[in-house]
Amino acid sequence: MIRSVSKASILAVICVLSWSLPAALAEVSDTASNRPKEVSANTLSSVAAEGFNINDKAAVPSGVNIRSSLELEIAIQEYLMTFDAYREARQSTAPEARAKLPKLLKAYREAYAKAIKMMRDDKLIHPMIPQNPLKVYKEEYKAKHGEYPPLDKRDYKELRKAIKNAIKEGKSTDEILIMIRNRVANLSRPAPAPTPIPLPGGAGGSSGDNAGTDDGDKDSRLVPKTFPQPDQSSSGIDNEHSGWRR
Amino acid sequence: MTSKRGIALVLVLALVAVFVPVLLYLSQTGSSQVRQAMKFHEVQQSESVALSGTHSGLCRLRGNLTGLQQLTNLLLGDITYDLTIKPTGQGVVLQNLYHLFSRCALGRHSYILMSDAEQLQPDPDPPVMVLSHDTWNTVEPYDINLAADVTAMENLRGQDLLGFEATKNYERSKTPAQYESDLLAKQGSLPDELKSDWSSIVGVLKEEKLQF
Repeated sequence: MIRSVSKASILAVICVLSWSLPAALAEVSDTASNRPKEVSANTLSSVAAEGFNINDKAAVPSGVNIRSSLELEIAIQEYLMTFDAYREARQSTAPEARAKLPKLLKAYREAYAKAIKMMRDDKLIHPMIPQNPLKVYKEEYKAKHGEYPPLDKRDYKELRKAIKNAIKEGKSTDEILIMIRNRVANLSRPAPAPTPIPLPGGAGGSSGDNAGTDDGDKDSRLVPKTFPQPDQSSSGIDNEHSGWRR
Repeated sequence: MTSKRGIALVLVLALVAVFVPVLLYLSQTGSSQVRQAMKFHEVQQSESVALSGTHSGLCRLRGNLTGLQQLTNLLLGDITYDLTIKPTGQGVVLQNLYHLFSRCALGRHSYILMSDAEQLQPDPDPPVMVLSHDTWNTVEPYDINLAADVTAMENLRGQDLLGFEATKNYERSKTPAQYESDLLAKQGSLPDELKSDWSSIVGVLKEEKLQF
């Protein structure tokens, strides 16, 4: 009797163990963290080799390239425009607008990647350093030219208004980029000659340049817009390698 | 008679000695699975709340709130989260740049989301345009209000972003045909569930490839 009870108990214990062990092991493995807590020596050496100082992240890195601020601004305005177009389409309830979402997202992704690459190539930013590209640009500009670049916050506000107006008026991406170029070029700042922007079909250079008429309060979302389309031949700053062309 | 009582007593004690631990173990096993389910629930809840926290931070930026914001014990329902919005500098078109941290800890699980955010100058009133990029997460129990921890996160995220940068450079350096063939060559090492659909997935990835 006692022997039979003991055998039954041992069998029961074995069954229980085999049933519960996977759950217990799963819990242990789920809590384990495999993420490294320290930056690798290779990464630190590559950061130093690029001229950045990981221990003094506010320092201006060595070897910064000062290109025309016009090129940087156009690249940034381009991804801002594409983001605006993507956001508008995402918020739209019209099926035809939502159908454009993948292309608009691709256009934004490429425009952003292009601008980031430009700043990264110029050493204005680094993934491990909190971004402050304007300060780096200004400091390096002063080191080379003896004075800070003449940047004015008002210029950019007016530029944003002009872009908003141009979109409202249904201007194409190329026309808006040309307008941006003309406005930025008229900011009377010393800048190296920018990459020429080809005129699409002989379009005029100053189209959409009417910032003064925008009251800013009118909601342009209520007006039908022509957003920059990814399948348009566009870009302006790098037409040969445009990410929008297929 | 006495020997029969003795045998009965030993039998009862033996049964108790065997079954009480078994019953205890059974109850613990049951609670182990419950604990595991609760843990997964906590993980999901903390991640969802941290994501909502990131959105609430972006909404603050859209409302044109500027400067350093360190907000602790914010509530989403009855779950608390921390939010830190740290200015890092200015962009080339004078947009404000931030690092945005959102942290939610439930039980022993901590979840932090960190992302870049750009806040443009309002034209002229809020809501202003805000873009966020490169969201990164960690389950390490950092304190997002501690400068040393924030620096550690920036370093680890930067290290991951360098890997991402290498991937993007690779993507750019290949022609669409090369990119497609490279991806198709990986089919053999994929799980069975993915193998059958891989060619159509590669078609989409090829369409999405960076091309500049």
